[in-house]
Amino acid sequence: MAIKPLNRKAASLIAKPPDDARPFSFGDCCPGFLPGWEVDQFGNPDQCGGGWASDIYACQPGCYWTAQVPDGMAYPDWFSRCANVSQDWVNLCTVPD
Amino acid sequence: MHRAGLTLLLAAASFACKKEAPVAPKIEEKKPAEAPQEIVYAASSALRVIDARQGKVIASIPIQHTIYSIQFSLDGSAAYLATGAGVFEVDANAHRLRGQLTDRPASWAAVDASGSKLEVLEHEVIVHKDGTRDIEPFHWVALDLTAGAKPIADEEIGQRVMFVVPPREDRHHLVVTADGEVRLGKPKTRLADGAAVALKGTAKDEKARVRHMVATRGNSAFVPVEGATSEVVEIDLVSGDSRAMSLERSVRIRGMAATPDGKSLLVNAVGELIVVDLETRAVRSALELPGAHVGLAISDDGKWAFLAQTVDGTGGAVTIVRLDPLAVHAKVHLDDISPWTVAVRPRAGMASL
Repeated sequence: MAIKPLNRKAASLIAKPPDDARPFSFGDCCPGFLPGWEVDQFGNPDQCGGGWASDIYACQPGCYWTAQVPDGMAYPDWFSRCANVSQDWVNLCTVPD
Repeated sequence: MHRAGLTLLLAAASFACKKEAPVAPKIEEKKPAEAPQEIVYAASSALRVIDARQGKVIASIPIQHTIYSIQFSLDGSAAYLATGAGVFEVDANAHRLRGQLTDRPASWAAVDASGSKLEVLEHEVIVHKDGTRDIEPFHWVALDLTAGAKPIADEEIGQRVMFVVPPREDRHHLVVTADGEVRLGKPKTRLADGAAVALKGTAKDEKARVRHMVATRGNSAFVPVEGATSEVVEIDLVSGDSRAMSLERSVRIRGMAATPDGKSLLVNAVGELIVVDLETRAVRSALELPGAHVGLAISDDGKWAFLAQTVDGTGGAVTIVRLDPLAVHAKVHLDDISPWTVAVRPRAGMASL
């Protein structure tokens, strides 16, 4: 079933050619994991160099990836029990906790 | 998402992110006589004090709150930690926590040029009974360090503020928001009254996005823009004018600092350290880093840079880079934390060690 745009914004989105590179990053962060989407919004391979764990701190304060990393402004102390991401990531709570 | 779901997701991410190890940059085999003399603070939700000369941790301070920034007093005797629970003060001579100065989440704290005032970017989060949260407007708060950190100013800025260069008598203030808006306000105007500016040189790239950090040196503020070709935009805080400097490649930017002599800007581009010549406004050199890095701090003498490597084995590390000639000097492994912010204690405070 074809999807019909119901407003001008939707019409402009559907008129836009789809990106041939599907980003795994959200904005300027790369905390997510989506198989087959392992490029950033500019088509580059993983710019984080070491995967999500290396970048999760840098991403959380300003942005989020739904259900994985909460918005750092709403959850400013989300990392309080995760001093060592390699060992303590299991302590990271889900949202809502 | 349930915890089990998250666990699977993170585990899968960890597996998927394993790829061919990058070729490690050559680390200086023979240590020259000169070595960094700095005391370096590295933190996540715990703080480690590192003696760079010895290459080891000399003190551990458990904070148990997310540490967003570390700033020292001008004489190096105190460090101020902006955390998810407020600002904490550390006695940098005794390496112990001295107390808590504020109790609202703080994302930035800096000592002003006089050394008598601590300026804090903070906001309140209201948690309702049903678990929903309201993010209150961000405030710029000034504390008088000569009077027991007594609040002397409190100004509302607006929603979702990531960074502030506070107002001064003769220069613009600057505000960067979470959605990448850069606002400039003329001298003596309120922080909420700044106007959004279009940064020059970035309009051609629709996907370009301001990375929410700012480095300052003198009357210049440097704002990173990630894009198909990443740039750093230098904003003259006196005139309000801006000029872009190309980094000549698409990189994510995780740290920036200008050298004390004002001649160079160092850019932590995750896997490489890029040196921009501020006179020619072009990339002068670049160094491949051993792994992904976050944050950046420079020694007072401008000879050394320190970067946090969030993941190094089962812990993290601080990588020490010699700036002339540009080379990785050493790596200090941290067994029990994965640092994401670093700071260098001013040399003025070293005499007390």
